[in-house]
Amino acid sequence: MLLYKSSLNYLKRNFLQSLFVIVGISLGIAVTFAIDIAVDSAQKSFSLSAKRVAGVATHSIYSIDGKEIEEKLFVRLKNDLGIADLAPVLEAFVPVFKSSFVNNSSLEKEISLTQKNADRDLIKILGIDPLSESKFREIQIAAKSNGKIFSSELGVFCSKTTAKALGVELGDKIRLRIGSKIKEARLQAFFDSDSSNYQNLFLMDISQAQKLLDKPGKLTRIDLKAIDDSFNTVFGKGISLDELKKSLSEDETIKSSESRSKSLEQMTKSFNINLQALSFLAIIVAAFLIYNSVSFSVVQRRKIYAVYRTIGVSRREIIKAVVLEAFVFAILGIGLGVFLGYLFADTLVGLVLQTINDIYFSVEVSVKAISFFALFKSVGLGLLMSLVAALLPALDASSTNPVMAMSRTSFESKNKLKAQAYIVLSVCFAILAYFVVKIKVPDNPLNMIFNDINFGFLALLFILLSFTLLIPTAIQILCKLLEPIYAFLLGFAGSFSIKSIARQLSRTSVAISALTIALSMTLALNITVSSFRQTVENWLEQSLKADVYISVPRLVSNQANDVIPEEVQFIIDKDFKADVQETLTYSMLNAESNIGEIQLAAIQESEAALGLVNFHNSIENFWQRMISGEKLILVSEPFTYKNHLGLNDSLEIKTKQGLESFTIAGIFEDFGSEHGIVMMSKKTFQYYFKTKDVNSLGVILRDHNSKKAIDGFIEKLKSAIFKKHLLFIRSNYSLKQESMDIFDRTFQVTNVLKFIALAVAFIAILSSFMSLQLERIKEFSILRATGTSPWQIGKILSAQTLTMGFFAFLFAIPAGIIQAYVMIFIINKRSFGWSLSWNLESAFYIEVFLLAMGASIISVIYPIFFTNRVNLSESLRND
Amino acid sequence: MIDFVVIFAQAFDVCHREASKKLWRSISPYKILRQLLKSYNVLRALDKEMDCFAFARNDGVCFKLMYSFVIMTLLFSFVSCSKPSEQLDKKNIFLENLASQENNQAYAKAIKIIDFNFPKDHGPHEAFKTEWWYLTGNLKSIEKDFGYQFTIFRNNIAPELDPSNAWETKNIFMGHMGLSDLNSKKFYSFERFEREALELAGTQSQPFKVRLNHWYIKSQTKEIFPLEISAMENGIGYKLKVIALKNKVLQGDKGLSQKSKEIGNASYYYSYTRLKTVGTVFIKDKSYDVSGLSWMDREWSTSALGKDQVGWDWFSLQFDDNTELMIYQLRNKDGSVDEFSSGAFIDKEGKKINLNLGDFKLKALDYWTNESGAKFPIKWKLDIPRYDMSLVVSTELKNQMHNFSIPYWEGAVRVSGSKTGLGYLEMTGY
Repeated sequence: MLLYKSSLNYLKRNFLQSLFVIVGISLGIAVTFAIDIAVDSAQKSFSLSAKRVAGVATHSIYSIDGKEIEEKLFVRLKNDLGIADLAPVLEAFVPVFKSSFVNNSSLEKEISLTQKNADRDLIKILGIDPLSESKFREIQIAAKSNGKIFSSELGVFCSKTTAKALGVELGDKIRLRIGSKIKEARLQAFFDSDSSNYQNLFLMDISQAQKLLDKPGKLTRIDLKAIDDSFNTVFGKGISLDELKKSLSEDETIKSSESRSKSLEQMTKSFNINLQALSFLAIIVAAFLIYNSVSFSVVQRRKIYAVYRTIGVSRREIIKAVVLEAFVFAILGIGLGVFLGYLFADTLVGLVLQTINDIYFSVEVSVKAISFFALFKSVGLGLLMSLVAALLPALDASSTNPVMAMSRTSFESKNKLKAQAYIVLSVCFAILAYFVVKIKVPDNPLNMIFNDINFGFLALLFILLSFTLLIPTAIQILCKLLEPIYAFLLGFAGSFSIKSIARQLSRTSVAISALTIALSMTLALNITVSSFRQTVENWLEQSLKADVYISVPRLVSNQANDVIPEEVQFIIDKDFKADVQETLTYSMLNAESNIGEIQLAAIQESEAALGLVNFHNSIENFWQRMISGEKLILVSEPFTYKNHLGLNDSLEIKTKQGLESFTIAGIFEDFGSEHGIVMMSKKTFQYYFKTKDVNSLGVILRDHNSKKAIDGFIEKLKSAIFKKHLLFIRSNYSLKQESMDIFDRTFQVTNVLKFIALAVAFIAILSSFMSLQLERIKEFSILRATGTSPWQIGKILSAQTLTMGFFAFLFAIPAGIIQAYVMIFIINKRSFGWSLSWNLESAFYIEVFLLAMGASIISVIYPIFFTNRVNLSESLRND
Repeated sequence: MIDFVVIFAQAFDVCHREASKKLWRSISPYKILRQLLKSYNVLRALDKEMDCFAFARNDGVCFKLMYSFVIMTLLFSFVSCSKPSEQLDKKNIFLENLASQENNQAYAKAIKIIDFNFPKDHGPHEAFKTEWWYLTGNLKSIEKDFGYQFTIFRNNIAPELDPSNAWETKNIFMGHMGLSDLNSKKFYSFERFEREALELAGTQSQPFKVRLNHWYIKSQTKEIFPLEISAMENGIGYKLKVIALKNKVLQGDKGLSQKSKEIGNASYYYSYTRLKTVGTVFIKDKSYDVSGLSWMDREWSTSALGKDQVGWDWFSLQFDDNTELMIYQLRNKDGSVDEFSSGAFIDKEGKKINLNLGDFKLKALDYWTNESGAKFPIKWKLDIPRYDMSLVVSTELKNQMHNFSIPYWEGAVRVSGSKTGLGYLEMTGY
């Protein structure tokens, strides 16, 4: 009891420091928890979106080329095969114009406006047959509006949230851009509040969707419901999946809904890894923060514990008291942290979903998911780190001879002995990290724990541990080396300050380590993102060589359904003959293969087209052989990495001519698709898929690379085709710019999260530096009493703190570079198969340096102020 | 001021518990705080406008929060109780239109007596809101006795629509199928909806055909008979062929059957009262060769029940002496029988004698209660003193209830008394 009271009193007296401990813990928890909520919510929103919109369908029938199937199939399945549970769906993502500019401004202006706003206003059109629906999606709508779904003008249903976001009201006309045209649809009715979390979704009758999207006779898919792979029929006997498969035509394929939602997950994999990395960062930073804050508060009281021992308090009791205190702090900190994290998460979830909407696809459902696991992780982390941080110094204090323990010097000298053990441990961790990197984990993305990426993060953790264990030794060495220099430059203040860093190693090293971790991770993220960016920029430079690009405005990546009207190609070939040197066409479709769905593109048989591709590897004469019609394909780097395929391996693709086997003849660089792209020559493509659709056009002008010629050509072309076709006509440089903008947007969340994590680390380091100095007020009081001027004390304090910041900066550089290496060459490579080139800009080091110095300077202000104001006799007597 | 809070609290309570349930479901401390602040600001804004909430200005924080909370919950509850909703669903689409009288001027109405034009009139009458092809009958196999009902309804839900897409349609079809296995005391009932689009559902006059997916009634030739009926659901159904033994009967006044006083609240109505029927009944893996008699009703109209009418009891009876009787009684809300209830007796030669409400007396003798507590009279005493008929209509299978979007009882019945025979009974509005 006496012990607890003493603890309480101590904490009361050092209220500020106690507060720091709690703030440290809670900030750590808040960040981890918030990021976890954001990640969970994003994932849950995906799967809910997929599920909600797919309904309870177990299977769906699609076209093999990722385009549409014929509606006749639905009639056949329902009438002839008598399948009981099935529903037709026609869906598409379309951009919506905000209500603010419904006036008739010029088409061109609208294009540029859509382009800018489109990211926010991309809507999924879901065309359904309400008569087939009730077994699939359960959408509740406002009463008495069922009949409106069969209105004579184009009409949509949506949730109130969506309408509000678009600024439209019931009965308003909404303008949508369909392919290269603008169409209008009236907002007929709202979903009920139960269905209000359907976002960015317009529901229509299938007839209206076909009219709106200009796809008469077409369906995107037919949803089906099976029990144990058997579909109920009216004739009483079920039809098996295999039987159904057999009855489909060559162009149709049936997929299970799980595989579909899995492919949605795949789609956002890179983004998720991005978030996972941040979550990992947050945990590490949080762990150090908590350890730092708690161990500090215990180490400070070493002497007090020694006194207790001398008056007969048992070891056990001391440990119990320390643990209890740490526990109380942890609970307070965790409680506050969870609450703060919950508030933080609101912003983060919005941000994360926004980014996903921007880049990948529109998420129709947004939820805030708090998983038990996330909570458990945060709370567990908080408790564990607090207890460990308290227990280690407490064990140490209680096990040493009380008299020895009363002097810190002995403690610190004992620490020096430990340094050797630390080095050994550090080497062990380094070796462990090496092995973890080397281990080949079976590629199984379904395994949440034992997958490649987590092993990558594990390696990162080991590297960090290895580094932190070296820090105490490194500090001592540096201190010794720098002491003469400091003494020379700053005199007494210099040598005193640097010596005291080494003398108080048990605390300085923890504070420096925490700062090092935060700085090194910032550095590593910066290096990774910028290397990535640089590589992509180089790749764009290489692959975007045509002067002008024409495409159907399409905002969802990897969606190849929009086709350039033939007339446009005709106009370019005929009317602009004088300007154009060569036209390159791009065609793309999704095909089925023996390894799953693949993205297939056509490469034109021209030298210019070949010149855009950068090959890593290829077989001999592949180009001539491809042109001559051999069944060869080129695949992108991520494709080979993901599917474990290499040169001369074969790939079976389901074409409209049946299942055909193609041989890989080349591997090229590509950052456009995470999943990889397969290319075949245009002729082969057209032959096997019976399509002449062109998804985009590239024009090489006679006056190549001249900005003036390009702009002139674009102007002329716009005036020639804009009246009829609403297309994106972009110059080479603006397309590059847009691509980079998209890239930057992907990493926007990373930046925000990085900033938050850093800010938290900053505050925490501030608090630990501050308590470090505050604790020494008595020392400074003695110095003051013996005649040191306040100015000198200020000098000592700032020299010491700045030196510590500088040390952290020094250690952060190698640590950051090694981490970046792991992220770029191990985590990224394992996740995407992309080879990135290093980019080590000096700006990053400067940023890290400024951060370190900034943290140090700010944290020294208060102690200086405080030391000089403190009542000398008062603080001396206190001892 | 206290009164004010009390009134608010009461209003909140009235605005049912659902609202608060929703509130608690959507709870989030941050949101609530924000909402509270918002509500408080609303109050302040109102105060500025009207100077009537003067209390809000000087009260302590606790009171402020309390007012805000009350206002917030009120807002929540108004929002949630003012907007009822329904599932986007075939039944609702079908029924909403059927029940609403709003668009009725867009349809043709049964106002005057017309000259029927056969075979064209066997086919659809799209100008009218609704119509049906209705077959019922009693069938016998070596082992078992069956009753069957097969109905396809057409409902024009969008009279002004001008279809320009294959899926776009004015008409929605609804099919009802009932099969009574009288020996095993089992009743099978199925409902099906489809739009008149593509090959999914539709009608044609020559040769006559009505289809709803794989359910159909069709003629092989220009002649309507023999007529084939086929329906199957979940392995249960029938395939039947019917031939008329008597000519068609124009019900009501030469085919115009008035349902209430209101002009136009009538239908065109004709029946084939005696149809020879042969075919097969399927129940899961078993099939039964059957023969027996069927009755076919054809009716089209734009009307629904009259304002005060709640339902009807409809009898179609085929007697062993080669005569038939059709009677319907329309019931009013107050429990009385509507004056427009009527019937017809068809003699051996096929001649029709109209019956008015005064000619017949119906009395319920026994009831059956369904799961939702509705009581259906399943045993009737039917007296027609003018023709010395005193009949008891009863059923061997009590539960012949269709739990469809409109629940009703329709099933095979047996007649005893001064005449014997079999028939069908339909009861709605219970």
